[in-house]
Amino acid sequence: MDTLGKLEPVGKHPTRSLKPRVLPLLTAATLLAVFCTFVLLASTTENPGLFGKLDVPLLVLVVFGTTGLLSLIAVQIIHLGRIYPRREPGWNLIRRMVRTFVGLALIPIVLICAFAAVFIRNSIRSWYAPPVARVVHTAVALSRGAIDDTLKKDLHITRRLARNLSLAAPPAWPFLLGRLRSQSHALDVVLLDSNGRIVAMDSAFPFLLLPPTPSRAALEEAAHASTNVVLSPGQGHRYTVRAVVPVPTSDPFARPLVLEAVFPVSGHETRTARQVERAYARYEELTLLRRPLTWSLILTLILVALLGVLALVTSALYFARRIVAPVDELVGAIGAVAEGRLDVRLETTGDDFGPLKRPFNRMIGRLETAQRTAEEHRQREERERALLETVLAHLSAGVLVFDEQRVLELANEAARRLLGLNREQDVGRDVGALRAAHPALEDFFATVDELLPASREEIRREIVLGGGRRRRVVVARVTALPELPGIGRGGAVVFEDLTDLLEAQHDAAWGEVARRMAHEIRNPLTPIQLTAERIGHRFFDRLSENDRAWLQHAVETIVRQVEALQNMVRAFGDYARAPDLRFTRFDLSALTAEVADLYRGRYPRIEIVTDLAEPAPLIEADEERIRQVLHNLLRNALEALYAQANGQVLLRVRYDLVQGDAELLVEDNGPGFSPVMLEHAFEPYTTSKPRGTGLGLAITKKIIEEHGGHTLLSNRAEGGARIAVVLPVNERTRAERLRAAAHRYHPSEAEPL
Amino acid sequence: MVVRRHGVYYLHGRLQIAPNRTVRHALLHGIPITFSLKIHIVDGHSFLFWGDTLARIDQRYRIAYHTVLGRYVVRDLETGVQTSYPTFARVIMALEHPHEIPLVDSSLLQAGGHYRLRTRITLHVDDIPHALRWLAGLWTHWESSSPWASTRLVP
Repeated sequence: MDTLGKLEPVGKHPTRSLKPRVLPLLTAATLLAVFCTFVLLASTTENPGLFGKLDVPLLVLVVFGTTGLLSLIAVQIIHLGRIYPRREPGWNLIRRMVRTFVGLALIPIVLICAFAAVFIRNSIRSWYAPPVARVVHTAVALSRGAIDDTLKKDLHITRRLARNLSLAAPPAWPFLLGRLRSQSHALDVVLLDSNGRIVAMDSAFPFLLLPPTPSRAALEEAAHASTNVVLSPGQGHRYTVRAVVPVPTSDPFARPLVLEAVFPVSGHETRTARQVERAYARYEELTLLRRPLTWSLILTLILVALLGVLALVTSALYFARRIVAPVDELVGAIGAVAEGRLDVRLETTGDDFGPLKRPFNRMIGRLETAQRTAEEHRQREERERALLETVLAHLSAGVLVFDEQRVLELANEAARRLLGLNREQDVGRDVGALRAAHPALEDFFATVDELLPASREEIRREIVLGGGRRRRVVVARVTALPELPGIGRGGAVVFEDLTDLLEAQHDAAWGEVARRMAHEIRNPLTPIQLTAERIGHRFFDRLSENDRAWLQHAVETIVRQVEALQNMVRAFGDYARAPDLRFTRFDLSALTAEVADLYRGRYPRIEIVTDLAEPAPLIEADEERIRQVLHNLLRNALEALYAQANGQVLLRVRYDLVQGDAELLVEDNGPGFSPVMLEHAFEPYTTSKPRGTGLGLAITKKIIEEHGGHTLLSNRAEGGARIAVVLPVNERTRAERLRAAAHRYHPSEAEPL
Repeated sequence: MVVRRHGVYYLHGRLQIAPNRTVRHALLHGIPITFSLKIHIVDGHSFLFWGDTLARIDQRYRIAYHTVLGRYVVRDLETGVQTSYPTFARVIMALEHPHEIPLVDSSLLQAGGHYRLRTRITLHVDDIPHALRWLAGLWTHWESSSPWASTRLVP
């Protein structure tokens, strides 16, 4: 017993399209017609006379049977065409089986038909063989001889009656006729004149008012006296002899009379005569119809043979399908299993292939169970892996896992983003290959290489990475992993990018310094300036000419330095002040052109070039602060070119409306940034100019960041500095950037190193 | 000739029958043949193109040769009355003289009306099995018919 649960029939066979009731009815009707045809044909073979009566039913049955068989064959072929649209293996097997069946049976059928046709022709020919003809004609002659004897006897009796009648007087004729009829055993005796009128009569059937009178033809025949006796088919079943003779008379003036006597023919003679008659008629009829009869029988034979062939083809198709069906089902199930469907089961009841199907079902059941278990394990592992990846992906820290051979096995998204690693290329490389592939990360991977043979205790190390556009500081923790399958005793590196955090702390410290400086220095500056000016006023008139000039120079120096200190304090104040932006919509290109125009002509040896995108969309920003940025950047560039002939400053404005950014690019062909400047340019009090405060780029960076943008420094390849300022053009983009900036210390939002 | 007697019109005719060889051959080989005399009385004033048939008479006789008797037996298929003749010529002669065949009641005909009497005779062999007849028909003609003959009938 199969214990694998529900068994489902399997097969590629489409649902049978023929109406379920039509096919059995058609089959039954066809088989009945063929059976009846054979029965009727067998009957006509035993009794050829039946052929004439059964020819039409036979024809109808043959036509119906042929049509039915052709329909069944057509249905089978159509059905097979649907099952095997691409002539699959099952189709070839069915074709071979049908061909074999038909071939095996067709040859005997053809031979039998040929033999039967010859037999029919010879049989029919034998019906007309000379001995048969002689027998038939002899029988007719014998029968005629017997009839002639009867006719002669009855004619003799009638003549005797006529002579006796001629001896009697006319009044005695009726009585005499009765006696003579009774003595002669005649049925009717009638005395007539030459016009056919009855003179006297007597009959064995007294209830007849008038006996049947001789016909005009009979009277005419009697008048000829040579054919005055005939055997006629009576009105009943018996033959009768009708004899008509003239009544002799000696009176030449007497009217001529004739006597008609009707004698019965014995039943035996009648039957014999009729049988001979029928046999002869049948024989003559067959003689006449010999050729059509022969062809009719042969044609019928051919039709029956055709019926047999068609029935054979139908049966062959049917049984071939029945035989092939289990194999086909098995092939279909194997194909389904090969395609990965393990829910298939084969019907095992009432089938010779049951012993093969049951183990197949058990095997597929076990496979299905194993696959289901494996699938559950795989799904569980997949879930755990997905969970781990999700956790790793959302970690702010980068995670790298190395195996025992220091081959990178895993790098989470934060690690890939922070280090600029490629999952396909870098995962699978060992540390040496990683160092070679990423020279900018040399320090990082060198440290990892150094720390990897770590003990179980966590080792923490700060690493400075400077290979990218920004200098970054990461803190890495290296931990040894327990021995894992496929990894061995590997190690995990967890690191965090502290650059933004440190910068934020740095900016905050500088802001506090600037605020304190502004507060502590600005307050005494005004009294110093006022005191210096009062001293000058008080003592100017009391001093000599020389001292007066000295005093004036000293006061002016104090005032100038105080003003310089006030400018510095104001700059520190600007740097330290809280953001208070007033956003308006303005044209950045127009603002850039306006600022550029202010500086054109001031420096004859420096050319200021603008490359402004047109048409320029309006951006949403604090126009005054952006103007300040433009002044800072342009002034920095001009001051860098101060001692250089043929200096050139390029101001370029571009828009990326897809990203929602506007980019302001300031380039010069001066000496460019030194490496130290590139690293610390945005830090306050960092300047390469002898008189600079070192706050210009710091304030610029601060203003741009307050707008949600960012500033990038670089050197041009052909020489000179390049400062790129990227600004969001609308409130939505700005809000997104500010939101990101609020979490800048988060590694997932950090730039690649 | 059509005569009126006791309110009924009778036909006394003279026909000419010429059976083909096939019919004679079949008869001599014991296959009965049927003689059919079709008589239609048609109203010539009918709005129908082919006229309105008032009466249809089909006189049918079965002729068989009895070998043992040596005689031709003619049987009226309507009445069953049989008559025998010694020769086929006598049979033909008897059939060529139809005697007192009732046609139509005189009340059905209007005096002065325009009527036509249409006749047609057919001799056919009808005792052959149907299937054989179809096949035998490939070689022989089992039926011979005369065209319709029409004559005027004045009441």
